[in-house]
Amino acid sequence: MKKALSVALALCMMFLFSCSSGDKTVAAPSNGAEVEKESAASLIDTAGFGYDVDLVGLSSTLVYAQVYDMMVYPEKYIGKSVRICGMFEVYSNNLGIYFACVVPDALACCTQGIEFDLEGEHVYPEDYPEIGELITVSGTFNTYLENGMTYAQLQGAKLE
Amino acid sequence: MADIINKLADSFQFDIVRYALIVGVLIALCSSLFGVTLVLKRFSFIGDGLSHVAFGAIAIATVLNITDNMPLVLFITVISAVLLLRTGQNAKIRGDAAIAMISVGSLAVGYLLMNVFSTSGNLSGDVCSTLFGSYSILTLTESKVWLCIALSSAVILIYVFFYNRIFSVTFDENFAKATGVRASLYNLLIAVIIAVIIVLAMNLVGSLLISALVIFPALSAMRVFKSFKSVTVCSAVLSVVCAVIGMLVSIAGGTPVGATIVAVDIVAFIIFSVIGLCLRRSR
Repeated sequence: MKKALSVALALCMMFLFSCSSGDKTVAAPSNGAEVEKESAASLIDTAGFGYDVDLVGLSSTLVYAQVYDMMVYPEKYIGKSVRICGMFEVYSNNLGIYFACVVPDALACCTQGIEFDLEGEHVYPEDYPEIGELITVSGTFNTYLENGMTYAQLQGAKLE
Repeated sequence: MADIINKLADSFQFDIVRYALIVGVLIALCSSLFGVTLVLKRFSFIGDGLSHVAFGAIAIATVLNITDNMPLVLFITVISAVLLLRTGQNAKIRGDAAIAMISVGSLAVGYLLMNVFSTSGNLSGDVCSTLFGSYSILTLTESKVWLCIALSSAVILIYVFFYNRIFSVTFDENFAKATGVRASLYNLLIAVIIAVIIVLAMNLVGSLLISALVIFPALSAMRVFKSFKSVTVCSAVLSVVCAVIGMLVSIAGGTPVGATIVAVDIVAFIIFSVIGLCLRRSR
């Protein structure tokens, strides 16, 4: 009986592990899923090109958490090359216009994003993607002060 | 398949993933150890009640702008656990009513406080993340990881050292008292430890799903095993395995961490129920 029990438990564990490794059909929120699909495609083409923090090819959950870490502890990432895939967003106030790559979390109730400043001279909207379009952007992570607040930004950024 | 393996391998370069796995394993282990005791003592819902208290405490910390909220949350939850235990002994308010009262009261007051006083730009996101643990486990700092390691180690050591006493109090409190065991003291110890586990587990699965982490592994193990020791060992192994699988699926698939871990726990429960049924029929 003990032997049968051990075999059954071993089979059970194998089944559980096989569930995890083969589970590509797990439902993700629509936005996150699209970002992830795009990310996975990019992974095959461009991964391993020497970025310090390459967030392309990772799931939306992980990208969201990593960007959160970069926003809360920016000092850890200053000067590092970062590459991220997400949705293009534009924000504006009386000081200017800001461009960002945003990623929703798995519950789709929050978004995190990194502002970027494209290398060279560019005019909005001609030289920029549509709002909500999936983009992959890379640049050097840095912070700047504005109105006494510290903001993070990818400087010298390039759109892929 | 290769894509998923690559994705997981890439994920491990990030500190946050390594921290999440370390803390996730420790929390799963602690919660499953005491889960067996809670289920057997019919205290399954105390975890739910205390997790809602912890939510209320987090709301207070948010309103007071306390960045490192764990000490405050831990303090309030432990006090509530002790009060719940004392109230449970009071005939005027039965244990289950006291738990229900504290549970919904804390949840309501917590949400009210966050709504009225919170300065966050994304209130629904904050509440959602606290309740369902979408990504909390992936945002742990090194100091929080060390705190989790210290608290988890303390919980495991206490369980190992007091295993026999916890065993006797779990099964027959009156017999334990008759043999000289200070049952009320050990009940208090269990309540305090459960509070610590709840606060730790909020990072992993959020406050609404904590009960699942505490009771599912114990219930699954009870489908197959009968002795306290074998149920505890199986529950601990199963809880850790399910937590790791849940986290890996979540990291690879982009699903909410807490809900994914609980879903894996449910699958394990179904499998163990089927195994238990087969074993009973073969006898």
